[in-house]
Amino acid sequence: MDADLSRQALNANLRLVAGGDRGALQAVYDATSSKLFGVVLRILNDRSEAEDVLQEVYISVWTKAGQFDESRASPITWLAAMARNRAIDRQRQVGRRISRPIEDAGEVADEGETGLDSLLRSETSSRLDGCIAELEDQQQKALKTAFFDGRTYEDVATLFGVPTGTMKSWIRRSLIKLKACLGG
Amino acid sequence: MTDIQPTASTPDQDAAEYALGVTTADQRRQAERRIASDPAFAGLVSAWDERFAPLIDAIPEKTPPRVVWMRIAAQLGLAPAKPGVWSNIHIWRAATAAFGVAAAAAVVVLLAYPKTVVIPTPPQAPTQDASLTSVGLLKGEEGPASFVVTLDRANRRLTIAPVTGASPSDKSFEMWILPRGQNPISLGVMDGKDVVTIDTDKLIGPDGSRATLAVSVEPLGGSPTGLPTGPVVASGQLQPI
Repeated sequence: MDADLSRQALNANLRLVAGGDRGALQAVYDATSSKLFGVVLRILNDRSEAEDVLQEVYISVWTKAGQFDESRASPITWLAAMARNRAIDRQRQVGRRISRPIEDAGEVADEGETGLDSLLRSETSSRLDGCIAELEDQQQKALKTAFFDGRTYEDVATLFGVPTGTMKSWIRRSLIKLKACLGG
Repeated sequence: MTDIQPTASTPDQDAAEYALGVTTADQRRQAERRIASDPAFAGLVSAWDERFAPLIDAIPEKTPPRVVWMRIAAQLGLAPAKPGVWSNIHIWRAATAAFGVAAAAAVVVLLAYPKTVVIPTPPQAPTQDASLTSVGLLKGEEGPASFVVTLDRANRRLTIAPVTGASPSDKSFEMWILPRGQNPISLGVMDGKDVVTIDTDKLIGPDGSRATLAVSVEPLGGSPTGLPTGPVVASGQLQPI
């Protein structure tokens, strides 16, 4: 589906959810649950926990849809951030089930582009990629590991075999550079 | 490259670290309180979410199992029955005839609060069936199917009374219990026309009296896979009485 149309449909459905329309919640779920499940599963690496968190996320969508401001955020970004935050909070409670080294965190889906992917894709995508590419190699990997796996500074530092202070300084520097590169 | 030094913590840095997800549980709690109370800080976090958004694109989609939506629907009490259906005295009389006074009292309460799936009320009259321990209404979002379910723990008997909606002639309804964190467990197949009593030990666990149940449409005779394969037409939660 055309990205702009998907976004408008999602905005419209979130407005309906805010008004208590249960059918609209199912429409939002149908359109976004596979992406959000991918996000939380990546962070939790445990299907049962991920299913639990996904359930919590849509319960939150039901109660918080009225707080979504479509003039300030894109709907899928709002939903994905909610899913990431819930998953990260759960991960902090239970620990990540299986530690695994990060190869290249930018694994790309091979399932073909969905309407949601095209919705997410925009000129900012290539700009962000370009800005990340300007970081040093290890710092790119550290930033992506932190984002995709939702890990603490301490975890990422352990994984990369550097002191936590070093990792903090890598990532904080990367964040400053990214912001500058993206135009503040 | 090395001329940019990290500075002491600033609100923007705190927002970025929260959005990235690198802080500890305690620091996340602090950030969440601040998001709720400080709109400027919340705006900084949203800006970082937008900056990172293209990365979400790289995460492969994974289809969640159908049971997740079933649980969401059950938890939210999807959906309110149409008033026309519920005010039909003949339907509710037929539905409650099998259950004695306790269930009838519960259904009356339920009719008064049609948006509530759960029936957290003691019977108003002395019960004729003292062993009846839980009652629930299962209902659907779109279809007309709904079921009144009662659990008799002492006799290990779950009684399911269809209120509205029979299964299509070439399909069966299948009743599932949805244990937290596990796959659905089939409780049996029904046609949606007759009252069904199931002898079951599956609901006698510690959470059995508050079990979440759902009804899916399956091929005639039941799901070929042992897990729900068709659309969910009704769901809800038992509540002790």
